[in-house]
Amino acid sequence: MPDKSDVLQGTLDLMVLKTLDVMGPLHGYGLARRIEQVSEHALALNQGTLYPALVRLEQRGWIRSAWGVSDSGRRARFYSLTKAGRRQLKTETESWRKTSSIMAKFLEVDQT
Amino acid sequence: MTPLRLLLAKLRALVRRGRDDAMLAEELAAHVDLLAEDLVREGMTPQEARRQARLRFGGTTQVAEAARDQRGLPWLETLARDLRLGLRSLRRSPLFAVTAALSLAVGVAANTVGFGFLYGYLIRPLPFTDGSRLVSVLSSAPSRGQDRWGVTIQDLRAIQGRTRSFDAVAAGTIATVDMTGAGEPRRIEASVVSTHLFQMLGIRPIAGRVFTADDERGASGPVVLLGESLWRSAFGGDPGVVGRAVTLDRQACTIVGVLPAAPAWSAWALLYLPIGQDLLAQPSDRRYRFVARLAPGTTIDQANRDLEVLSAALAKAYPDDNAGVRLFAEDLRTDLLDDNREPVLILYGVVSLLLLLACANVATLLVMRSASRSGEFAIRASLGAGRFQIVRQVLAEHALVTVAGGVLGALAGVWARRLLVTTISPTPGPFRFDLDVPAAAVLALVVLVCAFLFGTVSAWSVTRQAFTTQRETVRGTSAGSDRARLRAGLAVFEVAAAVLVLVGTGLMLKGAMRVAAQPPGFDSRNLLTMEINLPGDGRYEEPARIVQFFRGLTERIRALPQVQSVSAGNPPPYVGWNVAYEAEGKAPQAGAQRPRTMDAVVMPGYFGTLRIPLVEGRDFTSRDAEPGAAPAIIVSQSFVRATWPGERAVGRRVRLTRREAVNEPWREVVGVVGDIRTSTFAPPRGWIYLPQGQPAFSELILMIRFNGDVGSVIRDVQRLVWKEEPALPLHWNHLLDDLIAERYWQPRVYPKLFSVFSALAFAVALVGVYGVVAYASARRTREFGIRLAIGSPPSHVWQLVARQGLRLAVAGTAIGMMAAFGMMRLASTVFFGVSPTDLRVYASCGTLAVIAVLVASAGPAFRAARIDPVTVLRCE
Repeated sequence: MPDKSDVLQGTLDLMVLKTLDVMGPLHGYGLARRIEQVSEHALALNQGTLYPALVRLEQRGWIRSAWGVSDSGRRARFYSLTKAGRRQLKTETESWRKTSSIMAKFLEVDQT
Repeated sequence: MTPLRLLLAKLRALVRRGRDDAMLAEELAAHVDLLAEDLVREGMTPQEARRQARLRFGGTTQVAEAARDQRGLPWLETLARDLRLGLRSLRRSPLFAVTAALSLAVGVAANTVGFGFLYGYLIRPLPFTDGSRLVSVLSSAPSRGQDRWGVTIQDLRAIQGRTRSFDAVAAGTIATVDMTGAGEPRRIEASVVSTHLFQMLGIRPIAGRVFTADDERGASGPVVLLGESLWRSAFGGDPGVVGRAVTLDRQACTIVGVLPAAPAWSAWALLYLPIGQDLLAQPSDRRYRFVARLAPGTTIDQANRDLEVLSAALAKAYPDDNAGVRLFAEDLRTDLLDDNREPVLILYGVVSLLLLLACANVATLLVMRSASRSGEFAIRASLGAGRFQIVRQVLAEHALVTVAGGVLGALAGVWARRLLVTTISPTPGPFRFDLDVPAAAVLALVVLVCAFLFGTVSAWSVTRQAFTTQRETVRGTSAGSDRARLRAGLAVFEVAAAVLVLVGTGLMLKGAMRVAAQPPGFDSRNLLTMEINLPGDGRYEEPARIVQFFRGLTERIRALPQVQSVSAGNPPPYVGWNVAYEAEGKAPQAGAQRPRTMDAVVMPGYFGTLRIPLVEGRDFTSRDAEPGAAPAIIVSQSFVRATWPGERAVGRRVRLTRREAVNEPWREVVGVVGDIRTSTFAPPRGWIYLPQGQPAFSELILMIRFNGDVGSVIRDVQRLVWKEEPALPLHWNHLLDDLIAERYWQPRVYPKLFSVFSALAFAVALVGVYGVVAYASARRTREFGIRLAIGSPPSHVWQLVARQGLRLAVAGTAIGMMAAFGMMRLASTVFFGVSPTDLRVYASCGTLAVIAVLVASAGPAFRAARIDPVTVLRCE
């Protein structure tokens, strides 16, 4: 299902996967808060994009979900990375590094 | 991650939508709760924290909606919703739904039938190995008056030896053989074929084997293959028949196999013999047909160039047989199709038009119905529905009607086609008319594309009107001349198409009636035909013996109480052989083609028995059969018209030119008889009748006019024949009526098919016209209300509506007539008796169309005149 916001989706997916990799299982709210913290609040995450992204990642088999209890005792849905998700994270990270280094070089050249 | 897995996940999500939704709701609630908890930790009061959390989170509904869209297949859900809505709205107006679906069903059913014929005859690959590379090889010899002539065994050998255009060539011809030893002695039509024909065509036997090359050489003695129908009728379908012997022409032949009924070579053959076994066959007999397979990569043109060279070589090698003879190849399908191509194409044209009409109709009805819904559309539009959404909604309704009508029509069509095929086309040769998967797919595609195009255009125009109405509520319903033009265009198209098929069918029916009304020239009722072929064992070498046998037999038959009169001749009146001739004093120009005519040998009393009137001169008598009698002929009126227009024929002389080598005598015309028609497709042709004895034919068809029970006549005649010639097979114990019906089903069937289809088309078109007029008058309700309110008499209002209907009718009729004229000029070359300029047909069809349209607009007009102005104005 290609979408108009493909690029944005790609980065958000990568952020979610990376966060889960680093932090272990997290619920939606935890994910959103963590992403905002890491980006030093440069990103205001719209919940209307986060939850569809979670659905998408789960349907693709990269994350799985289970109901658990939060620190405060609230029943919540926790997401964690699957094996396939770990693989996907690796390839995505590679390709993102490549893209950003190319872009960096490109922009440097352009400046001088 | 595979796309398939993703699709499965999405489909699963569709199924467990309820549970997923509940989970999502809880998840989002948890999100808000957790956020609120954090805010409390930051120092807010619990109430304030909850309020803030909800505020920051945004609309839960929108988030849930976005997640739901991601989870499932939103377009599928939308489609399902549209269809559900469509179904509900159709159920509210069942009359519209049923009318629209039925008219489409009619169009689809007609198309299924028409396309079945088109596909079976023109498109479906022939059921033979490499069917597309198969050609017929024939010959033509203009100087001998032949344009589709046979090929000889000499020619076959030359083709096999000297051209590389073909990788296989097989020959075949029709012969009749006497079969004895299995029930009553019978004469049977047999195919005499090259032994490798069946392997070449890929035909497998039901039992036993096909011929092998050894059979041609006669290595295993005389052999025969049975056709399935003979196997079932004479041998009870016993598979043990293989290896048994059957006596054919007094020779014991071993049955080596049984061939399936799907007739490959000839629809008529009941059994098959190898060519080498045909002892009477001369290598120079020009009575074979070839089936050849083009070598891979060879075109028919290349093959024809090869055959051109070969023909020249053959003409040198066998000047007697091949001078002036040109061999040519023709696509096997074209050869087998014979006269069927044009009628099938025209039939398909008619049913295509019917389908277009039906689609236009559904579209028109849709538009008409939407008139009453313009308010609904306008409200939805003003509430923010996009135009595409409303179009989609209308299209969903349209799709429901299309699918319902299409399925109904396809079922009806399949049923009707089966009925037609079994009743009208008993001998279709290798053509089959059932729809297989590719054919059904093409048909469905045509219908869908058609329906979709019409549906989209009308749905678009409907919503445009809704959107304009929304904006132009104040100005009411006077705007939009191009929309009106679209509707009027649809209506004119419907009327034109209806008139086209109506006029076309009218002309065709009138032609058929004219043909049917024209007496066939002979009376086929209560006439029994029976073929007698005297054995070629030497006892009937003398012409006098032959003449004497037939004279004695007919005299004894005449004495039977049930028999009114009897005679014999060959060929019978529904078959024709033709021969080139020369009239005295009218020598043909050098190089010009000689005129041709039909000829037959007949016994005295033939014309009386068949009730062919003797116009002038005398009938043949027994004296004409005596040795040394002056050569005499009787000719038909058409022959006289063609040869000596406006002159007396009796006493003039004619010479037949059967072969350039043989010098035929000049024969004097002693009588002139009425015309007979050999085909309902063609005008009567000239006939020359020769008296039996000049020459003496050992094979004649008895013509017996009888009273009462035909079975007893057959038994009595058989008894008389077998008293004379005990083992003589009697063939074709048929009523002449049946034979004619069997041979000429097309002229009977096509006009009937066309009239059924045109009646349907006309009805469908009328429904459409009604829709347009009713719609137009509904659109003008407000205007009529005002007119009535300011004092216009109701009659004036209904005249307005009627005038609009009349305008559509006249325009459509004019266009339809022009189209019909063009089409019928084409059709008149195919169907004998069709006159494309029959003004009475045009006038009556035109009147009928205009009246019908007026009747269709009467309802809306009446309703318009009864409008209560107060109600209308208040509504608006």
